Amino acid sequence: MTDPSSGRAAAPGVPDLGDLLVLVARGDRDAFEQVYERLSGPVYGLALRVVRDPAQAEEIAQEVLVELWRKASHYRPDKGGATAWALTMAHRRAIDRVRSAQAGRDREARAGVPDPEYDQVAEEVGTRLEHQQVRRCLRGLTETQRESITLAYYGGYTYREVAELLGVGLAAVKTRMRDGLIRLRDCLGVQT
Amino acid sequence: MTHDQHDLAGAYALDALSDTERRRFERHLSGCAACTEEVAGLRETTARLALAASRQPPPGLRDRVLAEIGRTRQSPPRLARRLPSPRAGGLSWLAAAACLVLALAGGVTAAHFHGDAERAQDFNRRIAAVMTAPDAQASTTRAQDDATVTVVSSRKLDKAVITTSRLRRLPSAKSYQLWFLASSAAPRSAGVMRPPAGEPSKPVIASGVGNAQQLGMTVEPAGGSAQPTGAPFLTLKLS
Repeated sequence: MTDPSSGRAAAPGVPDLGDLLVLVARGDRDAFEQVYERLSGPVYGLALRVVRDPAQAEEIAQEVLVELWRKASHYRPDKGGATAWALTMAHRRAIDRVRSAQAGRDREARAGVPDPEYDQVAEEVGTRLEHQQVRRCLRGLTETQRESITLAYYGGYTYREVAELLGVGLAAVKTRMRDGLIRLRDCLGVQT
Repeated sequence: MTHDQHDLAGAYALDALSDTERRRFERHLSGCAACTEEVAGLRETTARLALAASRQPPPGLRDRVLAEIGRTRQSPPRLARRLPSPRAGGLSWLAAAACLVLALAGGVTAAHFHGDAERAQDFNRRIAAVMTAPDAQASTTRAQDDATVTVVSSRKLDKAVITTSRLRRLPSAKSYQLWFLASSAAPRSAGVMRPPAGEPSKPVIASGVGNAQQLGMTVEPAGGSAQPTGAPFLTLKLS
């Protein structure tokens, strides 16, 4: 079985994340530990990237990982890959946090640099390769596409806020987001 | 989907819509297969943005998460509320019947147990157990012009789930009653139902399929009878 989110067939012997979720839904703790190994890094890293605060990122990661245990039975393979499902949950949790904290925070500072220095060496080769590939493909976008996507995804801004920040119209931002993601999808070789 | 809505696919995949806009877009998605497919691809793409941000989590997280799941009750599966669209290969009629019953159960329990989610979930779980039994068999028949009655039964679990739709409304002094029929024994009641007019009935979960070969339905005085007072107006074969 392939995990569409990686666009590659799962390595032999490595269980498919969707199959693991089926086991988790039945209360299988061993399967959950494997899910934890696979997703705790991306979930924590994504939360950290969005909220920019290690303590809050850890809290969010814990909430999301427990939610994966609780809601594993809600995963619907026909609606997309398991990784995308889980990371959508993580992303929504993280942006809820920054949006509700909006008043008290300087959000411009948070989202300022689209791709901050990857100062800590990624622990795993896979992560490092993933990071390099995504960075290379982001570079292939127009600057306005890249800005719109990174402000929204890593900054947690709505497209209306992105339009305001960039001083462009709503229609332009919508188009940049969609066209940019399509180009990114093709560059990354994402298969669905 | 209008061109304008379609343009939101990128913002949607980036979670860059407000809650209201997101719900509106999701309603559009449910009616547009091409949009759904595009969104799925864009979601896989944003997942790659997430994977690229991966960081080693703090060391204490694993233990805390594992401890918490030990105390956390899992949520039961969401039940489908719509018939699934036909797919390549086709759903078996059993699966289709099961989906029909689940769809009815999902919709109806929401009404019957309004404000009582736990009971509704428990009811749905018991229905799902019969549906997903390895030996589950389904049978559907028509009655009264356009009414349908569906039974899914499992001899292993000794249970059957019966649902009806568009059965005629009965006078208040009457009820529909279901019977397990076996050639070797007297009919055994499988439950009484009074479907509300124009709505699907709340499914009946009946125990004691035993060696019954058929399920029959009669009209009885309100509350049901110990034995059928007349011949069943419909019967369904139990496999």
